[in-house]
Amino acid sequence: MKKLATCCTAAAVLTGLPAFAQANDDFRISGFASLVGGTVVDGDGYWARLPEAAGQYDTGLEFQTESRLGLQARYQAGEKLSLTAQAIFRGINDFEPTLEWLYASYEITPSLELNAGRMRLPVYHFSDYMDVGIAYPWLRVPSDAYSLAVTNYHGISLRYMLDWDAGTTNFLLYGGQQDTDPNDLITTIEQYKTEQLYNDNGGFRGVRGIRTTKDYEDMKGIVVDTQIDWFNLRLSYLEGRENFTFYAEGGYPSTPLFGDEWVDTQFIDVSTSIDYNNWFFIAEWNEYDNIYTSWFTSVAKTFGDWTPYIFYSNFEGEFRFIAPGGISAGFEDGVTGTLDDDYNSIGVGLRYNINPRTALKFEITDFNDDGDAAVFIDEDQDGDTDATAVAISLDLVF
Amino acid sequence: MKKLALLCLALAMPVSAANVVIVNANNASATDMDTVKRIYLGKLKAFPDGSKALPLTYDQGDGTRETFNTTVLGKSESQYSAFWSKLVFTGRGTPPETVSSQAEMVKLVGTNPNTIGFVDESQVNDTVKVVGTF
Repeated sequence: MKKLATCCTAAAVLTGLPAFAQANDDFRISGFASLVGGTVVDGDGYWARLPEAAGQYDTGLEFQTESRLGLQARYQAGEKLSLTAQAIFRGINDFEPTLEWLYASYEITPSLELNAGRMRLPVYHFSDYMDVGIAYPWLRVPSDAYSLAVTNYHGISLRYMLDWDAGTTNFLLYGGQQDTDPNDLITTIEQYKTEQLYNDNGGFRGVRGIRTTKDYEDMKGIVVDTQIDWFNLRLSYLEGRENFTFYAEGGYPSTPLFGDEWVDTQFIDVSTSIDYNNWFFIAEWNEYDNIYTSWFTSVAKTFGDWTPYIFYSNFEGEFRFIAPGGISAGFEDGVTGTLDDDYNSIGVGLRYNINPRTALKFEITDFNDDGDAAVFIDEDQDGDTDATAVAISLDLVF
Repeated sequence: MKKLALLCLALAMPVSAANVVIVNANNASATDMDTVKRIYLGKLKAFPDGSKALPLTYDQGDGTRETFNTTVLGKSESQYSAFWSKLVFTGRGTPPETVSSQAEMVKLVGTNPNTIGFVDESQVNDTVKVVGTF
């Protein structure tokens, strides 16, 4: 950064031309990391489920599942054209890098931008930067309300920034597609819901190697995000077609057990937040047509470098197949039965800013499972997977 | 007693360390402090006349930067860093470039009509124009 400025100064002095002609050929590398460790203090296990099924805690002190490192390169190819690439090394994937973003951006006017490539599906308030821990107060974005099983997409987007006197409104139109094979989140959900294995003493010994895939096509979405001073309102709508396929253990890829048909789908998300005088408040609600409704609300207050927070999050699925008492009690009528997936969490935590680019966080999360299906490890096979977990994280950007 | 009164008077006098926001002397755009704030937070990428705006700030830890961030942007250094992280890691913006001295700031802004910066009042010369005080 300093070098760049010096170089610009030198160039400006030498030529007398606009100094930032040089800066426009800029190549920037930046990055972020979160080291997250946690353990279960009550219950058989806790699973936060954030991108790609991360956040699985059972025994001992687990430091891998949610830890991640992101590296980003941005190349300004011309005055109006830039290229952005971001790779994330996630603990849940044994720190194998995956390319999360790779897209070209063309600035049509200073307030209108066209993007094409691999991008984050912007359905949620925090979709775009939920991996960047430094950007929000919580240890993780309250995960019960962030369960969409597709994180990225390939396609195009058009962003328009409208600046009106009292505030700004960002309009984002996007379209694209994405195949997930396997779909890590749904596969893991199904494994704990119906495919847990127990040893002779009834102890949990693992899950069956089922596989699920989900293809998303014709996705078309819009986000209208308005900021008026300390007030924000964000509206998001996505529609498209999806194809879900379930393979029993050994069935992949030739013999799907069920699914493999295209259905129309819709996803709506609304959030409102207030960031005023060191108080932060947010409420976010979403509905995945015929699949689930989820929401969360949170309050945080900043005192200098300290930010204590509290949140409540809730998930309610539409499915009613599993009988009360869990999978050991069998199945019930899928129309009149009781809910399989119905759970909520209360979290209390504290963020401390070590310096402007580094934060330390602590959270205690109480997970309450009111549905018939198990959400994670269920030793007594009754479908009730209540848990209390604690976690710490070190978040930084560079 | 007289001395004490004088001392009180001296202490009550305004400190002449005003900071000012500067643009190039040839920049004819009507830029007010609200526009300045939006440019520095990436919400506006152009001056009111439509020409591209390139905001400049100082390296982290600089006192003038801290005063600017808290009084004009309403953000502590941590909040500023968190704010830009959101935009940087979604490819939606890059934070203001940094320079390491007030002299360099004046030189850059005085040379490039697209830049905007801030300095101590005493640094201002005829290559730049003051658009606001903080």
